[in-house]
Amino acid sequence: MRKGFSLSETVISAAVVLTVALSLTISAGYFIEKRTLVETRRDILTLARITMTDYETMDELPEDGTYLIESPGGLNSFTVETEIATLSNTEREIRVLVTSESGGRVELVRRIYAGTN
Amino acid sequence: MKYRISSRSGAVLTMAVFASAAAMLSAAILFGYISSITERQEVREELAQASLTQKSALEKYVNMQRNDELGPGEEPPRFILGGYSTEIRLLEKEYISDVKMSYVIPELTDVSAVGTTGGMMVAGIADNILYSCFFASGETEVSQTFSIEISEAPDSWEVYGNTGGEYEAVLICRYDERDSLFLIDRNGTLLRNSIPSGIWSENCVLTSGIIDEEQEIVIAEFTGAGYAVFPESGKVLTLTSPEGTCPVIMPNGKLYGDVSSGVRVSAGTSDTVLLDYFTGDFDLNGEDDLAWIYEDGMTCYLAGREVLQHDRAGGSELAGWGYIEGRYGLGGLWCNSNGMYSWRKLFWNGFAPLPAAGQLLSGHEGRIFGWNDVYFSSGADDSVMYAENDQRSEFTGIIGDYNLSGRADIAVLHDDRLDIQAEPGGRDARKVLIEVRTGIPGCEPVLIDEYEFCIYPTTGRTNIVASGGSSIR
Repeated sequence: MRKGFSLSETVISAAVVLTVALSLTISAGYFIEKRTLVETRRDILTLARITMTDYETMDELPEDGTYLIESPGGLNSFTVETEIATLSNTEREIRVLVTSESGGRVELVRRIYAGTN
Repeated sequence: MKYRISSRSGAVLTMAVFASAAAMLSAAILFGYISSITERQEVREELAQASLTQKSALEKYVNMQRNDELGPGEEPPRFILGGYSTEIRLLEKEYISDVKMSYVIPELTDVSAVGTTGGMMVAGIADNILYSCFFASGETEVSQTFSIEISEAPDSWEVYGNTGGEYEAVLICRYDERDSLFLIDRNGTLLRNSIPSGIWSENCVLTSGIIDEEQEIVIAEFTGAGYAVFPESGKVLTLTSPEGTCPVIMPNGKLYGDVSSGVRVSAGTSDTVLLDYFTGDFDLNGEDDLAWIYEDGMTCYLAGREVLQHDRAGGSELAGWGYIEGRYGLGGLWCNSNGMYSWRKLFWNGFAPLPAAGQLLSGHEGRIFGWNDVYFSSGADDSVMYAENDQRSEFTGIIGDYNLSGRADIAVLHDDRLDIQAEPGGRDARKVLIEVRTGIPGCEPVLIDEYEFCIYPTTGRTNIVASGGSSIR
């Protein structure tokens, strides 16, 4: 009876293992990248909503502008861009755009009216 | 030439097929998971803008109503913003004024009142009879009264509201060897059981809810430890939670805290007294967060990110705390040893001084609520400060929302009667019920809500909340 594996069996097995490992590595890389992107988008959305809420409750709205903010732990940084347009004496439009270096953007638009909150 | 597959080569091929299948399955599962969380995130982003469009449309509608720009029965034009459109349909409109009601409670000398999910429960014990009555939200008279005989007069007792599930209030009576736990619904139906003494003290936080289809009550002191009580069986489990917190049942019916043992351990003690505990969506991600308040600090658990934020100001004590921008901002009013006050608010990276602190009322103790020129503060001992413009008064009572307007009403407890004043400060308001639909033009709406709110003929701000109101205590 023959003992051990032949060269062709070893090559086929190695090829199978390598292919499986490679596809799993690619899948894992894709998974991590996409998951990180979704988490970044979630942070971007939270930041955009918090920024918008802060503006909603201010009596005096700030000037148009852009600033940078770091996430807790400093792992990510975000650019917050604010644009405020006066549409009439009682109506103003606030536009908040938050982007991240690692991808993702959220733009929120809101109109506020004098006398309401 | 003939090719023959040997048994060992067959095994290699089988292995290859199975390995490939396993790899593909793993990839498919990962891909499915990624697709699902990406889709959920896209929905969150869509809803964020849709809700802002809806909010803007509602404010415009309120302005039009206040300025009488809409004729009788006339509906506002479609509102379009950020790629979404909102349509508003008026369902009901009526004029309201202050509502005051008084309920005489002749039998009782020691009475306690609590806000519940459906209204307010007033309870008292005389000898071995538990007397209780229930005020349903929106009613102007007492809804139910009932008396229940209990085994003997307790050494001390306390009633808690907002139980979650079908019950309105939890009553705990202390006896020598075992404490008694009662769950009361609005018809006076009771579920009673005994729990080991030493679990409950007057400093405990009590939360309640349905977890895994079973009613649970969490009783916790501010020691990081607590107990999960199952009222039907009387079973008690020990719970733990991180420093600066205590275990609670969250509004979404989940437990904050770990079940560490099926056996009851002795109750812990601590010098730190928990002053208050409440919930709110402080980081605006759609999930309720938790806040614990103690004398020299506050801790907030942000449920979406699963992080704890602590705030302490060295040498200062908390004089006030609560929602400072509707239900979406968490803030604290700190008083230092020189009597100077300063506000701090929860921001993206944690707590920081609030720049616009001058706009907020100072000098109050306890929980703070405010709108227009009317402010409340409620201490842990049920003392309430009510301030309207420059007039202030203080009394024992509770704050709730009994007429479901979304604005706080107050109940003042006297020796022999209970006075409820709905919406103090509200004068000649118009109460409207509207249906609001928001979505991408030409598509099915993504948000359909009914709103009931009051419009006041002042230049003050109008607080808009969903129909059904919100109990703010």
